[in-house]
Amino acid sequence: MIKLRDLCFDFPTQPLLKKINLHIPRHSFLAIIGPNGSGKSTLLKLIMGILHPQSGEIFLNQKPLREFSRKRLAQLAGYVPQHFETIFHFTAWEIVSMGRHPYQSPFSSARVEDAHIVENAMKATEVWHLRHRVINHLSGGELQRVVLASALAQNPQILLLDEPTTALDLKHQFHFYNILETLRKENNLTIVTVTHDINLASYFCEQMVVLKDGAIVAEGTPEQLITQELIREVFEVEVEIYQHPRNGKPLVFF
Amino acid sequence: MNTKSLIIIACAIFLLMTLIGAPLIGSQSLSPTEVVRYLQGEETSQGLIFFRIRLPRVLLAVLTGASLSLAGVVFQALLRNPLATPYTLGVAGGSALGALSVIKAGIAFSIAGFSAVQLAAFAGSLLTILLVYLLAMRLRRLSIHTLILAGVTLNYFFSASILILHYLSDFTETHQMIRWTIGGLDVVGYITLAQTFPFFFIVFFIFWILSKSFNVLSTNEELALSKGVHVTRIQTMSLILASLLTGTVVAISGPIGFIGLIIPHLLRLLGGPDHRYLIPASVMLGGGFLVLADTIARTIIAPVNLPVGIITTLLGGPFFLWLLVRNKGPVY
Repeated sequence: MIKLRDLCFDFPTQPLLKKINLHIPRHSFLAIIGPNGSGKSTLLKLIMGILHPQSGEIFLNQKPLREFSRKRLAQLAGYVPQHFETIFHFTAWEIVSMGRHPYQSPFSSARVEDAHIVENAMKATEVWHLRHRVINHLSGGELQRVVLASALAQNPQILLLDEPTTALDLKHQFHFYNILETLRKENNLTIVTVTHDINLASYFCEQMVVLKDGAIVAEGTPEQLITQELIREVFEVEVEIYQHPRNGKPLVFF
Repeated sequence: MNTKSLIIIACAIFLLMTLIGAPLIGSQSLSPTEVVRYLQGEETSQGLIFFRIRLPRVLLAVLTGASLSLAGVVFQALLRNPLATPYTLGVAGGSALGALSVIKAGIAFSIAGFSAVQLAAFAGSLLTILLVYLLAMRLRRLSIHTLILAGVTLNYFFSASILILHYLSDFTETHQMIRWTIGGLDVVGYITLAQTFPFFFIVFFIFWILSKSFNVLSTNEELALSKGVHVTRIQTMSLILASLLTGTVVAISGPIGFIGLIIPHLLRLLGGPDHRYLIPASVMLGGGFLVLADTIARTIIAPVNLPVGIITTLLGGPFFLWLLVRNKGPVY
């Protein structure tokens, strides 16, 4: 589904990603973890075509990313940014409807089909009741679900999420990931999420990738990956690892 | 029918009423029957005043008001800044410097119906747009904030240059300069209008086509990219078109203030930020509003013609403040 080959990205002043090679199969639920500044968000933005790599290649469905038009890419992948703020007072419905943009031409009026897709996306993320509300007045959890619905309205095969739950409380974190898991099963999505919450990632994600200093230092299932040695090496913290009593997934404690 | 359609219809009716009503009002009131008789081929003096003097002025007001409001909407959306106006990137400052230099030099000629001051003002704005364009071309690496900062810096630079001109001028020149800077709708012929209206319609049409993209762009740049919007292309093209339109009307009417700021905000308060509604509505409301302001400017202490630039702010300022205060909940 997603394949990265020798991907390098530099900011004008410093190198960031060094020769990233990664294969993300269809239907994965992958978490990218790593310290601040390790290049996690940049990696997502490269896959979404928001940033462009200096060298290396990204393939989506075996096709190089640079051969995709912006619209075609937006039909294939949806993106939930880390912060979403707007100064203008759009309603939740209007924000989710923007997800139909890659399917619309300038002259076409809104089609009934678009309205159905928007409605379904909002129901799937449980924000349908908020449709008339102005997004500037929504809570953090509601806003994130609206932005997720907007990405879903693109009918994507891939969802890319950049720390989607960092600003949310415990209930909404869990709730958000539950929605993601349901979506993945029902819509056959491939999900890549960047997160700082290792336990949340361990609980929900099947695969993990650990980034440090712009390079992949480990990848595998949470059970394989989350060890005292790895956390010490990557995050420079001494931790204890326990097993989740319900599903046996590893949990990290200070 | 939804609120937005109702507002658009209301704006259209308002524009039509000002278009027909304003030329009848003035130091001499005109009777509609006399005007109709002129249309039927009779040389009435009232018809002459209507068609030769007042109608061109009203049409210029529509063109200027509509252009400034349209540019205001687009600047606010693209710069994602509620304080943005058509003049944020320095277009008016550049125009003023051009116009005032010619006034100072005492050059007077006219080409194709445009005076030396108008031509110099347009040249000044073109120069500014070129600078903005060079900056906008670097938008791949420059942020919108950098662009705004560059615009503000340009404005300071132009203000300082204008102050030097003022300082070196005598009273007559200074008087002329201040009159230009306030902005006014002095008599223009139909030729000037015929030369500028088509450009306005082209820009309006392009912006209307882009209105869905403006919606996405006005939220968040990265989100817009992820929704398939050609961000850099649309930003560069729209900033230049909006600047060109602003430069054109400023060259003819001077930097009339406030319209480009409040008309878009007023309409957002009433019907929300959807550009499919905002663009046509602000064109009509902006056009009508400037006609109204100009009619007041012409009549309030007739036979003296106050410059319309003063009236737009004197009239619009308190009204908009009242709206902001009355509006429940935060606006921005």
